[in-house]
Amino acid sequence: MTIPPVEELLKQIMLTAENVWGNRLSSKDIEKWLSNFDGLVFSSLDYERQLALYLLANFVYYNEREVRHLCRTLFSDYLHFMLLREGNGNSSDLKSKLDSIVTTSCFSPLGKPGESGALILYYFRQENDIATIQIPHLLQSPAFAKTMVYVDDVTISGDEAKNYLLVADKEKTNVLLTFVSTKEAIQALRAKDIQVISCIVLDERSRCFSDKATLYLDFRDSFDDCKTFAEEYGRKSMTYQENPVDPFGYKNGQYAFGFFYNTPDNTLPIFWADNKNWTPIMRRHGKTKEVTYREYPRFV
Amino acid sequence: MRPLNGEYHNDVREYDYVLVACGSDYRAYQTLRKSKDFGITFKNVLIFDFEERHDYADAEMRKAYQSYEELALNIKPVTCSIKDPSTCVKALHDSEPNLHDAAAVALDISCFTKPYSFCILKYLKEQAKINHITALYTEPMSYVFAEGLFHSYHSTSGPLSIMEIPGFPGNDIRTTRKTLVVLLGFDGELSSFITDEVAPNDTTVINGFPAYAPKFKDISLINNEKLLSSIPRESILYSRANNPFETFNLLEHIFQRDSSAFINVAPIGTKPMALGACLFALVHPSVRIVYPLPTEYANITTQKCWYSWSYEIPLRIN
Amino acid sequence: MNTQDLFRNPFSDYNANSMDSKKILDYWCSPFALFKSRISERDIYQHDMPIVFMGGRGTGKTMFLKYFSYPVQCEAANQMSGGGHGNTLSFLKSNGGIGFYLRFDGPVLRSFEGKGLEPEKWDAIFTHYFELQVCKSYIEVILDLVNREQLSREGIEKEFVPRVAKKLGRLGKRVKLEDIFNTVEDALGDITSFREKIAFSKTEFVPSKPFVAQDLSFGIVEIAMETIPEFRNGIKFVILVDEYENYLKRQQVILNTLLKFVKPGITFRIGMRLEGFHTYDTISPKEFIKEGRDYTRFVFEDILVKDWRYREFLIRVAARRLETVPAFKERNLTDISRFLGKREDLQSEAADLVRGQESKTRHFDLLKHSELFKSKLDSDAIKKIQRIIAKPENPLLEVLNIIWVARGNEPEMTKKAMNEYLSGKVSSPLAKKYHLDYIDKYKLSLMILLASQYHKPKMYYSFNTFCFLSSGIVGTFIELCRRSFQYAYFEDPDTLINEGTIRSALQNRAARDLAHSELEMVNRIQNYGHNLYLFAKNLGNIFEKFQKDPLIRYPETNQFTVDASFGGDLELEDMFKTAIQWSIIQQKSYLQQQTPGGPKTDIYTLNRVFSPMYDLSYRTRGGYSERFDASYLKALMTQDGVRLRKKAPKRKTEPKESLQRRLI
Repeated sequence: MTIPPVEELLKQIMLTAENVWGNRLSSKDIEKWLSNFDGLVFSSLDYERQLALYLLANFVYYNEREVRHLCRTLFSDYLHFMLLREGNGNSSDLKSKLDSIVTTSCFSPLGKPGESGALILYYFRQENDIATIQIPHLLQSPAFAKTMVYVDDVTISGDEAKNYLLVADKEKTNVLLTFVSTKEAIQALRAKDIQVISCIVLDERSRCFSDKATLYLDFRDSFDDCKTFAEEYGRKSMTYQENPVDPFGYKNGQYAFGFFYNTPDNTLPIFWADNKNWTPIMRRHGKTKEVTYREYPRFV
Repeated sequence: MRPLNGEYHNDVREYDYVLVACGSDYRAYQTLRKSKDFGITFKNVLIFDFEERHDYADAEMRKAYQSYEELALNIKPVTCSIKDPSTCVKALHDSEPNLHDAAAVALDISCFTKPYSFCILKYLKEQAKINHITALYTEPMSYVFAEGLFHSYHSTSGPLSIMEIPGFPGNDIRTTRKTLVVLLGFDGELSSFITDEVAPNDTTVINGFPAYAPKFKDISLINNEKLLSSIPRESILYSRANNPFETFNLLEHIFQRDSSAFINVAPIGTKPMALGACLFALVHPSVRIVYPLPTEYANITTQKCWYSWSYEIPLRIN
Repeated sequence: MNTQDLFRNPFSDYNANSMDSKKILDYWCSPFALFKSRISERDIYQHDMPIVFMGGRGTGKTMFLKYFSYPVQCEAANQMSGGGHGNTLSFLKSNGGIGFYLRFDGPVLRSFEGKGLEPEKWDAIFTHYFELQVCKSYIEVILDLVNREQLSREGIEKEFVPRVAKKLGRLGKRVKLEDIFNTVEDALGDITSFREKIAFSKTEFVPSKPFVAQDLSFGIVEIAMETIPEFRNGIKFVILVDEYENYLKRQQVILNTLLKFVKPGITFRIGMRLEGFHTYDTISPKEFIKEGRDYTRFVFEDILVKDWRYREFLIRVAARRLETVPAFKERNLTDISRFLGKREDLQSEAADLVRGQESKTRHFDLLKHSELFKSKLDSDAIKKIQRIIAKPENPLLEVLNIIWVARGNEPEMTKKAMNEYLSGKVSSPLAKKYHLDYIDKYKLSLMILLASQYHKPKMYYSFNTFCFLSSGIVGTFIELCRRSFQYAYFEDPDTLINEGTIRSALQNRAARDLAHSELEMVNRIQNYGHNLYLFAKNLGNIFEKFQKDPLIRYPETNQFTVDASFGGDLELEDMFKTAIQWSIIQQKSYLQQQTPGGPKTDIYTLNRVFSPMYDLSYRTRGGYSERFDASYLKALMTQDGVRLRKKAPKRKTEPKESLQRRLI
């Protein structure tokens, strides 16, 4: 079986845009993005269009309401984890156990202020009614806290988390809450004594070009073409990209997901690359690590 | 909820009874096949053999359906009709009197239809006076979408009849409004039919999110777009697809928020979510459960097995 | 706040059940003009005989009945008096009645059967349940009027309450109105409890006081009229029963009896699908209900689609919705016919279709189908004719010219007719005939035929087309608009919001989508779903052949007749009636001739919502109707891929030997 025709894919994308993406994408945006695909890989523009739209139709986008729900889910999972860790107790002292867990936890963003962890923590605080006293200033480790809880959106390899948590207080229990992670990241961080709790643990099904990718369960015939397509255009999209990554995403991620506030670089670059050679469809705001030249308007 | 993944740390659980539905889906006997790996043992296996299912035209499907016979377990088939869970469950009283005295009972919900799961749980609670059961469930790796298009998913075919699940008629006395809560599934036609029939004053939907796989959370929204377009965004709520307790909590929240409403729940989403809805209805008998009964269930709707879970379900909650 | 923040699809929420009283009033458009003075608004309350309103899903029955219900009329009274309650009762008196809306959903009604209990016992339980529900609705209204200080509590509790309490078996002194209400609720709760228990155990239903038919539904009204002065004159109790088709046959027998023996001061207004009566029997074996004698019937879909009043009605319905969206209200974009375009522009459509083709003269091959030339025309001969009758800037005229020639007219004469028509020569009989053929008779058919020659589907767009496609069902029209707006917002939001127009291609997509979706839903209909699905498919395929007839012998044929006896096959008859009930097919309101000059009979059409799937005309012309005998009808409803059984009768053409000799 081959992938669905363009008209059906556009209809699917339209319904997704309306019901999940908050109507933030219109047909014009899609057309602009499709103009990136100019027959470089396959001579048929129509076929390239079809492949691109198939990938877009399978993109997973988390809107604001869903992100807020993930914040609530993470907190609930955290409480559950801590209860199990400390022994359930009987129901009569369950409430006091939960209160104790909450009041001896401190919450911090993973990374620096201005990074995604801080944004997530803002929603996390709101959705779970966390008292501001439980959110210390950076690098502070309040005496009342037995558990330091770090909040972030994505950890795929665990590398960034490991780096940031080098300075974590080893005397306390350190827990990382993320919306999305992988088993590899969880294991890598557990080895460093950091417990990871995630709402969504990605497995091989989510990597676009793995053997178990659900994207191609019914379309094995199209697998090779799609992979070649994504790789070649991924490479092209990175040609003029500041901080380029692998053609399939950072560390060969092969993912196709993003959030309303940003798209991670583990996702296929054909979605988010933004340079003179490429128009994005799911914008990514990358991190500028050093101060660079900037232009200013006439009036400041 | 506990993943059944071989990491049971010598904590082997023994069940006097496990109730399993026959099916050609590979998930039907997964927990039976892998019971040793999962650290669980079953003394008695009651296998519900549905008249409508065991005569598949396809030889492979028939073979898969009957593959439970190869398992070295103490299996007792219970013959019944998929369309009439009430009669089947009533008959258990005479055919399995020992069920009432069982210390540990498990119910594998993977291949039971939801009306059956609901009726069995109600029977176990009220007739067999069982306080607690373990529910077992195996997720599919993926679902079958004809032509690869999400909206082509159908779990049933042919005419539909919307029914009250036997034993769950709810009670609308002293209520002023009728609220419908739909646990969203992939089959959008079902929610349209249910909404037309029940004709609620308000509708709330609960989407399974986080879902078994990331994209599934969009598929249920896309396929139910007609229903979603007629309700405010704030009426779309979320609950983890494989966690019945989260669904229970959310339904309780809705119930408490709207105490003057007659709550109708349509559990057409995942089976764990339906389990949560069942538990909720057992605790709140004023809640009605409505469900679309088809003439035919689609033969194949899922592909392979993925994770298996066990849930400790208290049937009596104060 | 940008424009797109001010947008939401105005056609999204259209289920009357989820609308509160205020919204029902906001969206209400009076349909009485459409009933052509057969019934007025006052009749809904005052007409003594029960009235049955029939119509398919989406025709607006629920909206209609709810409008006349007490809560909505109270809201109307409030709005009229600027928010005060002071005039509620006088408002109701001026209406002439109070509407008590009752709707029981299918799952509840279906729960009153089976589970090992005999049908007769269920009948008694259901009667008891129905009586209590009606009583509850009466008490709710009286209680509300008391709370609004429209009725004196003291007065009510002095006489009315004690008598009702006695009837209900409620003992005790100083019984209040609220106590009566609670007693009724408790009795209903007992029934629900029984329905729960009987699923898993043998149990008997033993109410403290059983009620039989009329006990409460008529009895409470009698007491109210005797004891409440405000109800004595001029206020009728109007029981509005919705979705009558959901009632089981035995339940309808019970209600039919109430209908037949209704007492003064009470009446019924019943909403149901077409063919919603499962029986006309009453509990008395010799009595049955009969239209005209026991009830009056109005069919919502009888509204002739051609009727300008229906169009006006749809424009008003749409305007109400468009006004609720700031983006449109601010720009004064509240006329749906502007968004969709009033009518199709077939000429432009044809020109656009041909322009995009490699070969722009493929339609001239239609000449080969002419009986006259009997496939002897070669490409040179066709080119010869083409040179004479060509009009490249208007392919529709070219197709008409082709048809004229194929029917035996000389090419030169055809060309002359065309030129005279185009130059406006009104006196010329030739031009008149040409005008008649082009404008009145064949234009749509020409477009369908032209599209088929290029293997392209006909497009469906414009307000006029959507009116027809909706087949008299307001819900279908709203859904067509919803999908059109949905596509437009995704594809071209600026044009939608700033200019207030939707491209025909997007409307066409919406129409096709809906056709497919509706057909899929047919398969899920509870009774005979799959049979109805096959029936719709087969009809579509059959009529498609007619529409694409190369000589347009019977233009736009999409209607049929059946053998009214159904060959004695009761199941076939039942399936056919279900098809009508669900508006898969629609019966024309008046008997018509099956063929010109033939006897009059019932004529049916396939619901036009399916037209886009099969490139069918959305109109229905008089003239030829296909006739299906019982065996063929059965095949259409049970087999897939049923072919047209025979060719349509041929149109007589006189062979013009001279023309043949010249051209071949």
